[in-house]
Amino acid sequence: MTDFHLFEAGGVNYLFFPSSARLYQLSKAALGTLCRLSGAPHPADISAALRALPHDAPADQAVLSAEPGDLSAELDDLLQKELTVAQPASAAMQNAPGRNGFHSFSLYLAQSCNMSCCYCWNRGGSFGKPSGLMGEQTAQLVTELILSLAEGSSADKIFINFYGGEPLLNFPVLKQITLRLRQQEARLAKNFCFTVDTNGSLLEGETAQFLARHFVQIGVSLDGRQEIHDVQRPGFNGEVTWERIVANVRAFPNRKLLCLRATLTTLSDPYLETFRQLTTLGVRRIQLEYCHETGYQENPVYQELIVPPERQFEELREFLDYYVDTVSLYQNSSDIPFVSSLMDNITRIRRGNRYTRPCGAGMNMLAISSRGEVFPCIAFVEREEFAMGRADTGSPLSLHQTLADFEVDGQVPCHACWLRYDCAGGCYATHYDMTGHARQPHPQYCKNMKAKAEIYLYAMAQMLKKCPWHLERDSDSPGAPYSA
Amino acid sequence: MSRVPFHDLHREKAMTPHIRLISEGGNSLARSPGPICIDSIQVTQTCTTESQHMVYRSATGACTMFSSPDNSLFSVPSEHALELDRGLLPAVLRTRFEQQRIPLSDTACVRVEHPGRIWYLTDRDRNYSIRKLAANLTVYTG
Repeated sequence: MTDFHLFEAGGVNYLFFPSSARLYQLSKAALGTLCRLSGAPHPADISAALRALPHDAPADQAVLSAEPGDLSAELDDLLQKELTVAQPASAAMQNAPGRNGFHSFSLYLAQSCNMSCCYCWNRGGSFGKPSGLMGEQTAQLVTELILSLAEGSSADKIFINFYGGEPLLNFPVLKQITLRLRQQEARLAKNFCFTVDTNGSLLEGETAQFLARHFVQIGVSLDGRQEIHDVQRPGFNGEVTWERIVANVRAFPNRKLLCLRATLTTLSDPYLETFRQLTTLGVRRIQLEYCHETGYQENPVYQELIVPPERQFEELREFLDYYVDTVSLYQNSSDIPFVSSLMDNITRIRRGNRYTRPCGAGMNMLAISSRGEVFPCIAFVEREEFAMGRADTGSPLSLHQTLADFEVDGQVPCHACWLRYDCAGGCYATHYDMTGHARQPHPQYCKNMKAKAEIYLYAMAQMLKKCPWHLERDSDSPGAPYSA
Repeated sequence: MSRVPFHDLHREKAMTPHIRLISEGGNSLARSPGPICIDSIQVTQTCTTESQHMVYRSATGACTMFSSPDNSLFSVPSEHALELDRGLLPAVLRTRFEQQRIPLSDTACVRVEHPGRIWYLTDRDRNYSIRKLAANLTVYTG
């Protein structure tokens, strides 16, 4: 395994330790000494040498003692301290009989859409199959399944995410499920937290009022300025949509609940420009994501839309420099939109949480199709080999073996990666798309993750230096009550 | 006169002229007490929806836990890993516990979590984990 990682960003040398999540800055002399000791530019060789030493000798000291002077002693002290930090290890996730860990359910209310976005990864929710909405009867079965699982759940908060396609095409069923679950909160002693991902075209009237009253977050997709958005996100018949969506956003009863999400493609403005466009709409949270590096081979034009990784990284760095400088002008950054796609990553690194498993797909989260079929997560829907059961059968759900018992330290090649306790193995569904194996990451995926992690670490260092208050900022976001 | 490295990093905690701690990980933050919650937020870097992104942060009720890195008791040479793999408690461990004034009872038992790497030791109502770190086996509380 790699016990530390050296990298340079913004002309500064950084040293990161995966087990402790501590980040150090090194002088050029210290960097040179560390590299010389390794005999190679990669510090992994040092840790390998250290581990190979007899246990009764102070391992790192034995290597570093060859280097004269105070610097060697300093590095010796540092390595001795950091290399004896315990490796994160997760406890076995065993639930008592009749109990479970489910806390999140994504419901495909509509496997159809009233828009035809060029990059849509699931073809308007249909996955290329006949489209449809969840019927009232299926919704009733799904609701009962959720209630039954929630009753046995160890979680106090149960998240219900309405997804699609365009879930608001099926507003009557959304309302039916929401109200039924709300009725049961007291009996179960649980809180249901409702969220929806919508294209915003139907976010008006009674629908908007209902969501503003019952939901904790409404994610609205909007791809920046009008010319870009209307090309990337046309209506089903090719009509423009930006104007209507923006009007709905502006008229929404409680804009604090809104999170604007832009997807960046080769057609888009750069990251920074897209951010600037979205800030004019007065929302508190903005999420910008590049088209995934995943295969999603179902969409033949998808590959053409993926922004080359090097351009992504360049745009991210440009944005972060701008963002940090902007935030640092204020002592209170509450009026500056929270860029959740970046800040969540940076805050997590700052907190030092370590992870040994990627996500709770199938173990503490489920996705349910409009036909009532149960899958581990939204990205596995309609992949029959990963189907876990049906809402109407009452039979136990069965999880595909590859999604169970994952531990990053036992997984090749993850076990040898410096990012293993942050990435924790990555996304099962993405791996499945890219390599055909849910546990096997594609080398390009890993390369991108590591490059982004270095950018996040750099951004964290910059924020700590220039605007540390912004790292506490997520406490006022709609998601804050659920922060770990 | 040589320039002092890191002259511009006035906010960060000073360490040495050549090595400076920028971020302390989770150990010094009030939001990351002892046992740190391992939720699933990291996967949302590639996750599809904003709501998912947020939802993962709620995993406190279903999260897995690991011990704080700072709760180690002592270390012994890694040659005893084979005994632990067989579910046996090495005599040296018992001795070291006694030296720590935490004598183990006769009912103390070892459970193998990951052979050669992680073991759990239970004695009455106390739990310990033992982990292979570099050339040592380190014992942690909890």
